[in-house]
Amino acid sequence: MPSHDAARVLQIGPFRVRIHCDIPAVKQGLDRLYADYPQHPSSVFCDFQIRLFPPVGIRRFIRKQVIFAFDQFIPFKPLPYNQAMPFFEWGLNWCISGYAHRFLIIHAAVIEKHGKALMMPGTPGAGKSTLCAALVNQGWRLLSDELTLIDCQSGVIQPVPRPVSLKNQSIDLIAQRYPDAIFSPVVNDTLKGSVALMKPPQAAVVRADETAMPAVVVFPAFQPNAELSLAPLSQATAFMKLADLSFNYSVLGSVGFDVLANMVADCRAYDFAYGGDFDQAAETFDALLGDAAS
Amino acid sequence: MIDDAPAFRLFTAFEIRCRQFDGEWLVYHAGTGDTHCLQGDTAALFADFYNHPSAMSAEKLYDAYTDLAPADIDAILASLTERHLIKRVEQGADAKP
Repeated sequence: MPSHDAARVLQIGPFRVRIHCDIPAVKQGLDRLYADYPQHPSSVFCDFQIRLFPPVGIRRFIRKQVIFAFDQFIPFKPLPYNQAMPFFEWGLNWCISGYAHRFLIIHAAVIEKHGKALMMPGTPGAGKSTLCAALVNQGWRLLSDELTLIDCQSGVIQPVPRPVSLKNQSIDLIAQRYPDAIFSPVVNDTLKGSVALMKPPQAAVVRADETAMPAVVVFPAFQPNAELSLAPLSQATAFMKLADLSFNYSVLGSVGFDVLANMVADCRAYDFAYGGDFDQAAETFDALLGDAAS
Repeated sequence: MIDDAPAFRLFTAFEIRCRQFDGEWLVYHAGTGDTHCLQGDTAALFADFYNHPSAMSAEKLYDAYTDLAPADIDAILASLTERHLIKRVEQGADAKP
Protein backbone atom coordinates (compact mmCIF):
# COMPACT_ATOMS: atom_id res chain seq x y z
CA MET A 1 0.00 0.00 0.00
CA PRO A 2 1.62 3.29 -1.01
CA SER A 3 2.47 5.55 1.91
CA HIS A 4 4.32 8.42 0.28
CA ASP A 5 1.46 9.87 -1.77
CA ALA A 6 0.19 13.36 -1.07
CA ALA A 7 -2.29 13.79 1.78
CA ARG A 8 -4.81 16.48 2.47
CA VAL A 9 -7.02 16.79 5.54
CA LEU A 10 -10.50 18.18 5.07
CA GLN A 11 -13.07 19.16 7.66
CA ILE A 12 -16.26 17.60 6.33
CA GLY A 13 -19.10 18.41 8.70
CA PRO A 14 -18.07 17.07 12.12
CA PHE A 15 -15.40 14.79 10.66
CA ARG A 16 -11.77 15.25 9.79
CA VAL A 17 -10.88 13.15 6.80
CA ARG A 18 -7.31 12.50 5.68
CA ILE A 19 -7.16 11.62 2.01
CA HIS A 20 -4.11 10.07 0.41
CA CYS A 21 -4.44 9.98 -3.33
CA ASP A 22 -2.35 10.76 -6.38
CA ILE A 23 -5.02 9.86 -8.90
CA PRO A 24 -5.60 12.95 -11.08
CA ALA A 25 -9.39 12.56 -11.26
CA VAL A 26 -9.64 12.52 -7.46
CA LYS A 27 -7.25 15.43 -7.00
CA GLN A 28 -9.19 17.46 -9.54
CA GLY A 29 -12.50 16.38 -8.00
CA LEU A 30 -11.37 17.48 -4.54
CA ASP A 31 -10.06 20.77 -5.93
CA ARG A 32 -13.33 21.44 -7.69
CA LEU A 33 -15.96 20.08 -5.30
CA TYR A 34 -14.26 20.54 -1.93
CA ALA A 35 -12.66 23.94 -2.57
CA ASP A 36 -14.71 25.61 0.19
CA TYR A 37 -13.98 23.07 2.92
CA PRO A 38 -11.58 23.95 5.76
CA GLN A 39 -8.24 22.21 5.48
CA HIS A 40 -6.02 21.12 8.36
CA PRO A 41 -2.31 20.35 8.58
CA SER A 42 -1.65 16.76 7.63
CA SER A 43 -0.37 15.94 11.14
CA VAL A 44 -3.69 16.48 12.99
CA PHE A 45 -5.79 13.66 14.39
CA CYS A 46 -8.36 12.46 11.86
CA ASP A 47 -11.56 10.49 12.18
CA PHE A 48 -11.12 8.74 8.87
CA GLN A 49 -7.96 7.99 6.94
CA ILE A 50 -8.67 7.11 3.34
CA ARG A 51 -6.40 6.02 0.53
CA LEU A 52 -7.24 5.55 -3.12
CA PHE A 53 -4.56 3.92 -5.26
CA PRO A 54 -4.10 1.65 -8.23
CA PRO A 55 -3.36 -2.01 -7.52
CA VAL A 56 0.03 -3.50 -8.22
CA GLY A 57 0.40 -5.84 -11.14
CA ILE A 58 -1.31 -5.98 -14.47
CA ARG A 59 -4.38 -4.01 -13.33
CA ARG A 60 -2.13 -1.01 -13.05
CA PHE A 61 -1.92 -0.92 -16.82
CA ILE A 62 -4.65 -3.01 -18.45
CA ARG A 63 -8.28 -2.22 -17.60
CA LYS A 64 -6.94 -0.08 -14.79
CA GLN A 65 -8.57 -0.25 -11.40
CA VAL A 66 -8.63 1.71 -8.17
CA ILE A 67 -8.58 0.44 -4.58
CA PHE A 68 -10.25 2.16 -1.63
CA ALA A 69 -8.60 1.68 1.76
CA PHE A 70 -9.86 2.85 5.14
CA ASP A 71 -6.96 2.90 7.64
CA GLN A 72 -5.20 -0.32 6.66
CA PHE A 73 -8.43 -2.07 5.72
CA ILE A 74 -9.67 -2.63 2.16
CA PRO A 75 -13.42 -3.10 2.50
CA PHE A 76 -14.40 -3.29 -1.19
CA LYS A 77 -13.32 -4.96 -4.37
CA PRO A 78 -11.46 -2.61 -6.75
CA LEU A 79 -13.49 -0.54 -9.19
CA PRO A 80 -12.58 0.73 -12.66
CA TYR A 81 -10.02 3.51 -12.47
CA ASN A 82 -12.32 6.13 -13.98
CA GLN A 83 -14.73 5.67 -11.03
CA ALA A 84 -12.16 6.82 -8.46
CA MET A 85 -13.97 10.04 -7.46
CA PRO A 86 -17.42 8.51 -6.97
CA PHE A 87 -15.63 5.62 -5.22
CA PHE A 88 -14.25 8.14 -2.72
CA GLU A 89 -17.77 9.45 -2.04
CA TRP A 90 -19.30 5.98 -1.70
CA GLY A 91 -16.44 4.86 0.52
CA LEU A 92 -16.76 7.89 2.78
CA ASN A 93 -20.50 7.16 3.11
CA TRP A 94 -19.54 3.67 4.24
CA CYS A 95 -17.02 5.01 6.78
CA ILE A 96 -19.49 7.43 8.33
CA SER A 97 -22.44 5.06 8.42
CA GLY A 98 -20.32 2.28 9.86
CA TYR A 99 -18.42 4.16 12.53
CA ALA A 100 -20.09 7.43 13.58
CA HIS A 101 -22.32 5.89 16.21
CA ARG A 102 -22.73 8.99 18.34
CA PHE A 103 -25.34 9.76 15.71
CA LEU A 104 -28.41 7.84 14.65
CA ILE A 105 -27.84 7.74 10.90
CA ILE A 106 -30.73 7.64 8.46
CA HIS A 107 -30.48 7.12 4.70
CA ALA A 108 -32.00 10.48 3.91
CA ALA A 109 -31.34 13.81 2.26
CA VAL A 110 -31.93 16.69 4.63
CA ILE A 111 -32.31 20.40 4.00
CA GLU A 112 -33.00 23.38 6.26
CA LYS A 113 -34.80 26.68 6.39
CA HIS A 114 -35.30 28.98 9.38
CA GLY A 115 -33.49 26.50 11.63
CA LYS A 116 -35.91 23.69 10.84
CA ALA A 117 -34.88 20.58 8.99
CA LEU A 118 -36.87 18.70 6.40
CA MET A 119 -35.77 15.11 5.91
CA MET A 120 -36.28 13.11 2.72
CA PRO A 121 -35.55 9.46 3.52
CA GLY A 122 -35.63 6.90 0.78
CA THR A 123 -34.06 3.97 -0.92
CA PRO A 124 -32.00 4.56 -4.09
CA GLY A 125 -34.23 5.71 -6.93
CA ALA A 126 -36.81 7.44 -4.74
CA GLY A 127 -35.66 10.78 -6.11
CA LYS A 128 -34.32 12.26 -2.90
CA SER A 129 -31.00 13.48 -4.30
CA THR A 130 -32.62 15.07 -7.35
CA LEU A 131 -35.17 16.85 -5.21
CA CYS A 132 -32.45 17.83 -2.76
CA ALA A 133 -30.26 19.26 -5.56
CA ALA A 134 -33.18 21.30 -6.90
CA LEU A 135 -34.13 22.69 -3.52
CA VAL A 136 -30.61 23.69 -2.48
CA ASN A 137 -30.39 25.59 -5.78
CA GLN A 138 -33.57 27.39 -4.72
CA GLY A 139 -32.17 28.63 -1.43
CA TRP A 140 -32.61 25.78 1.00
CA ARG A 141 -29.51 24.94 3.03
CA LEU A 142 -27.96 21.55 2.30
CA LEU A 143 -27.33 19.51 5.44
CA SER A 144 -26.74 16.26 3.57
CA ASP A 145 -27.95 14.54 0.44
CA GLU A 146 -27.34 11.01 1.72
CA LEU A 147 -26.74 10.68 5.48
CA THR A 148 -28.93 12.37 8.07
CA LEU A 149 -27.01 12.48 11.35
CA ILE A 150 -29.21 12.79 14.43
CA ASP A 151 -27.16 13.60 17.53
CA CYS A 152 -27.96 10.98 20.17
CA GLN A 153 -27.43 13.42 23.02
CA SER A 154 -29.34 16.47 21.82
CA GLY A 155 -31.62 15.14 19.08
CA VAL A 156 -30.56 17.88 16.66
CA ILE A 157 -29.44 17.19 13.11
CA GLN A 158 -25.72 17.62 12.52
CA PRO A 159 -24.94 18.84 9.00
CA VAL A 160 -22.46 16.91 6.91
CA PRO A 161 -22.77 18.79 3.60
CA ARG A 162 -21.03 17.02 0.73
CA PRO A 163 -21.35 16.93 -3.04
CA VAL A 164 -24.80 15.82 -4.18
CA SER A 165 -24.65 12.57 -6.11
CA LEU A 166 -26.87 12.66 -9.20
CA LYS A 167 -27.56 9.77 -11.51
CA ASN A 168 -28.62 9.28 -15.11
CA GLN A 169 -31.37 11.66 -16.33
CA SER A 170 -31.16 13.70 -13.12
CA ILE A 171 -27.75 15.03 -14.16
CA ASP A 172 -28.96 16.86 -17.28
CA LEU A 173 -32.21 17.80 -15.60
CA ILE A 174 -30.47 19.68 -12.78
CA ALA A 175 -27.66 21.01 -14.99
CA GLN A 176 -30.13 22.56 -17.45
CA ARG A 177 -32.45 23.90 -14.80
CA TYR A 178 -29.66 25.41 -12.68
CA PRO A 179 -26.85 26.44 -15.07
CA ASP A 180 -24.79 28.01 -12.27
CA ALA A 181 -24.43 24.68 -10.49
CA ILE A 182 -20.94 23.18 -10.65
CA PHE A 183 -20.52 19.50 -11.50
CA SER A 184 -17.82 16.88 -11.68
CA PRO A 185 -17.34 15.14 -15.01
CA VAL A 186 -19.96 12.43 -15.63
CA VAL A 187 -18.72 8.93 -14.91
CA ASN A 188 -20.53 6.30 -16.99
CA ASP A 189 -21.11 2.60 -16.50
CA THR A 190 -20.97 2.50 -12.72
CA LEU A 191 -23.16 0.10 -10.76
CA LYS A 192 -25.57 3.02 -10.37
CA GLY A 193 -25.44 4.02 -14.02
CA SER A 194 -24.01 7.40 -15.00
CA VAL A 195 -23.00 9.49 -11.99
CA ALA A 196 -22.05 13.13 -11.51
CA LEU A 197 -21.40 15.06 -8.31
CA MET A 198 -22.81 18.55 -7.77
CA LYS A 199 -20.71 20.91 -5.68
CA PRO A 200 -22.51 21.94 -2.50
CA PRO A 201 -23.27 25.66 -2.16
CA GLN A 202 -20.53 27.52 -0.31
CA ALA A 203 -22.98 28.73 2.35
CA ALA A 204 -23.82 25.14 3.27
CA VAL A 205 -20.15 24.35 3.84
CA VAL A 206 -19.48 27.54 5.80
CA ARG A 207 -22.47 26.85 8.07
CA ALA A 208 -21.66 23.18 8.62
CA ASP A 209 -21.47 23.74 12.39
CA GLU A 210 -25.04 25.06 12.59
CA THR A 211 -27.32 22.25 13.64
CA ALA A 212 -31.05 22.18 12.89
CA MET A 213 -34.14 20.87 14.64
CA PRO A 214 -35.95 18.04 12.85
CA ALA A 215 -39.42 19.30 11.91
CA VAL A 216 -40.80 17.51 8.84
CA VAL A 217 -40.17 14.11 7.27
CA VAL A 218 -41.30 13.43 3.71
CA PHE A 219 -40.79 10.07 2.01
CA PRO A 220 -40.38 11.04 -1.64
CA ALA A 221 -41.48 8.82 -4.50
CA PHE A 222 -40.68 10.15 -7.96
CA GLN A 223 -43.24 9.02 -10.56
CA PRO A 224 -42.86 10.55 -14.03
CA ASN A 225 -45.65 13.02 -14.79
CA ALA A 226 -47.47 12.20 -11.56
CA GLU A 227 -49.57 14.81 -9.81
CA LEU A 228 -48.03 15.99 -6.58
CA SER A 229 -49.62 14.29 -3.59
CA LEU A 230 -49.00 14.46 0.10
CA ALA A 231 -50.38 11.80 2.47
CA PRO A 232 -49.93 12.20 6.22
CA LEU A 233 -48.35 9.30 8.07
CA SER A 234 -48.89 8.33 11.68
CA GLN A 235 -45.86 8.88 13.87
CA ALA A 236 -45.57 5.15 14.60
CA THR A 237 -45.58 4.35 10.89
CA ALA A 238 -42.99 7.04 10.24
CA PHE A 239 -40.85 5.57 13.02
CA MET A 240 -40.90 2.11 11.45
CA LYS A 241 -40.05 3.45 8.00
CA LEU A 242 -37.18 5.50 9.40
CA ALA A 243 -35.86 2.56 11.41
CA ASP A 244 -35.86 0.50 8.21
CA LEU A 245 -33.82 3.20 6.50
CA SER A 246 -31.34 3.65 9.33
CA PHE A 247 -27.76 2.46 8.98
CA ASN A 248 -27.16 1.89 12.69
CA TYR A 249 -30.52 1.63 14.48
CA SER A 250 -29.74 -1.93 15.58
CA VAL A 251 -26.24 -1.01 16.66
CA LEU A 252 -27.56 1.68 18.99
CA GLY A 253 -30.18 -0.58 20.60
CA SER A 254 -32.44 1.16 23.09
CA VAL A 255 -30.60 4.45 22.54
CA GLY A 256 -31.62 4.33 18.89
CA PHE A 257 -35.20 3.61 19.88
CA ASP A 258 -35.31 6.60 22.21
CA VAL A 259 -33.61 8.99 19.79
CA LEU A 260 -35.92 8.05 16.94
CA ALA A 261 -39.05 8.06 19.09
CA ASN A 262 -38.18 11.51 20.43
CA MET A 263 -37.59 12.75 16.91
CA VAL A 264 -40.85 11.51 15.41
CA ALA A 265 -42.71 12.90 18.41
CA ASP A 266 -41.59 16.37 17.31
CA CYS A 267 -42.10 15.88 13.56
CA ARG A 268 -44.85 15.61 11.03
CA ALA A 269 -44.43 12.90 8.42
CA TYR A 270 -45.82 12.39 4.94
CA ASP A 271 -45.62 10.17 1.89
CA PHE A 272 -44.82 12.50 -0.97
CA ALA A 273 -45.30 11.60 -4.63
CA TYR A 274 -44.15 14.06 -7.27
CA GLY A 275 -43.68 14.13 -10.99
CA GLY A 276 -40.68 16.44 -11.25
CA ASP A 277 -42.24 19.87 -10.65
CA PHE A 278 -39.60 21.33 -8.36
CA ASP A 279 -41.35 24.70 -7.91
CA GLN A 280 -44.49 22.99 -6.70
CA ALA A 281 -42.44 20.78 -4.40
CA ALA A 282 -40.65 23.82 -2.98
CA GLU A 283 -43.96 25.61 -2.33
CA THR A 284 -45.31 22.51 -0.62
CA PHE A 285 -42.26 22.16 1.58
CA ASP A 286 -42.33 25.85 2.49
CA ALA A 287 -45.91 25.40 3.63
CA LEU A 288 -45.04 22.28 5.61
CA LEU A 289 -42.24 24.06 7.45
CA GLY A 290 -44.54 27.01 8.06
CA ASP A 291 -47.10 24.67 9.59
CA ALA A 292 -44.41 22.98 11.64
CA ALA A 293 -43.36 26.36 13.03
CA SER A 294 -46.89 27.20 14.15
CA MET B 1 -49.59 8.88 34.43
CA ILE B 2 -48.45 6.01 32.30
CA ASP B 3 -49.74 7.48 29.05
CA ASP B 4 -47.58 10.53 29.51
CA ALA B 5 -44.50 8.66 30.62
CA PRO B 6 -41.48 8.45 28.38
CA ALA B 7 -40.13 5.03 27.52
CA PHE B 8 -38.93 3.26 30.62
CA ARG B 9 -37.75 -0.09 31.88
CA LEU B 10 -40.56 -2.48 32.77
CA PHE B 11 -38.61 -5.49 33.90
CA THR B 12 -35.24 -6.09 35.38
CA ALA B 13 -34.32 -9.33 33.63
CA PHE B 14 -34.49 -7.63 30.28
CA GLU B 15 -35.80 -4.40 28.88
CA ILE B 16 -38.88 -3.38 26.99
CA ARG B 17 -39.20 0.24 25.99
CA CYS B 18 -42.53 1.58 24.81
CA ARG B 19 -43.87 4.74 23.23
CA GLN B 20 -47.47 5.48 22.40
CA PHE B 21 -48.46 7.71 19.48
CA ASP B 22 -52.19 8.29 18.96
CA GLY B 23 -53.17 4.79 20.03
CA GLU B 24 -50.33 3.05 18.22
CA TRP B 25 -47.54 1.53 20.27
CA LEU B 26 -43.88 1.18 19.47
CA VAL B 27 -42.21 -1.52 21.52
CA TYR B 28 -38.47 -2.13 21.63
CA HIS B 29 -37.57 -5.53 23.04
CA ALA B 30 -33.98 -5.55 24.20
CA GLY B 31 -34.00 -9.33 24.57
CA THR B 32 -34.37 -9.86 20.85
CA GLY B 33 -33.35 -6.40 19.63
CA ASP B 34 -36.51 -6.23 17.55
CA THR B 35 -38.85 -3.26 17.38
CA HIS B 36 -42.58 -3.79 17.06
CA CYS B 37 -45.32 -1.46 15.91
CA LEU B 38 -48.66 -2.35 17.43
CA GLN B 39 -51.82 -1.04 15.80
CA GLY B 40 -55.57 -1.52 16.15
CA ASP B 41 -56.73 -4.38 18.35
CA THR B 42 -53.19 -5.43 19.06
CA ALA B 43 -52.35 -1.99 20.35
CA ALA B 44 -55.36 -2.16 22.63
CA LEU B 45 -54.29 -5.58 23.83
CA PHE B 46 -50.83 -4.34 24.60
CA ALA B 47 -52.23 -1.23 26.26
CA ASP B 48 -54.17 -3.49 28.61
CA PHE B 49 -51.04 -5.46 29.26
CA TYR B 50 -49.05 -2.29 29.76
CA ASN B 51 -51.55 -0.30 31.79
CA HIS B 52 -52.03 -2.79 34.57
CA PRO B 53 -54.99 -1.68 36.70
CA SER B 54 -52.85 -1.17 39.75
CA ALA B 55 -50.03 0.47 37.88
CA MET B 56 -49.61 4.17 38.32
CA SER B 57 -45.85 4.24 38.12
CA ALA B 58 -42.96 2.31 36.68
CA GLU B 59 -42.20 1.00 40.15
CA LYS B 60 -45.68 -0.43 40.57
CA LEU B 61 -45.51 -2.03 37.15
CA TYR B 62 -42.26 -3.59 38.15
CA ASP B 63 -43.81 -4.91 41.37
CA ALA B 64 -46.78 -6.26 39.46
CA TYR B 65 -44.71 -8.20 36.98
CA THR B 66 -41.71 -9.41 38.89
CA ASP B 67 -43.04 -12.98 38.71
CA LEU B 68 -43.46 -12.86 34.95
CA ALA B 69 -40.58 -14.63 33.28
CA PRO B 70 -38.83 -12.96 30.35
CA ALA B 71 -39.78 -15.96 28.24
CA ASP B 72 -43.44 -15.13 28.80
CA ILE B 73 -42.98 -11.69 27.33
CA ASP B 74 -41.03 -13.17 24.45
CA ALA B 75 -43.90 -15.55 23.85
CA ILE B 76 -46.46 -12.76 23.80
CA LEU B 77 -44.55 -10.70 21.27
CA ALA B 78 -43.58 -13.73 19.18
CA SER B 79 -47.19 -14.83 19.06
CA LEU B 80 -48.35 -11.42 17.93
CA THR B 81 -45.64 -11.34 15.29
CA GLU B 82 -46.41 -14.80 13.94
CA ARG B 83 -50.04 -13.85 13.61
CA HIS B 84 -48.94 -10.84 11.55
CA LEU B 85 -50.69 -8.55 13.98
CA ILE B 86 -47.67 -6.34 14.36
CA LYS B 87 -44.97 -4.92 12.17
CA ARG B 88 -41.41 -5.52 13.12
CA VAL B 89 -37.95 -4.12 12.47
CA GLU B 90 -35.56 -6.98 13.09
CA GLN B 91 -32.27 -6.53 14.85
CA GLY B 92 -29.43 -6.31 12.39
CA ALA B 93 -31.67 -5.25 9.53
CA ASP B 94 -29.82 -1.96 9.18
CA ALA B 95 -29.67 -0.41 5.75
CA LYS B 96 -26.41 -0.48 3.81
CA PRO B 97 -24.85 2.59 2.18
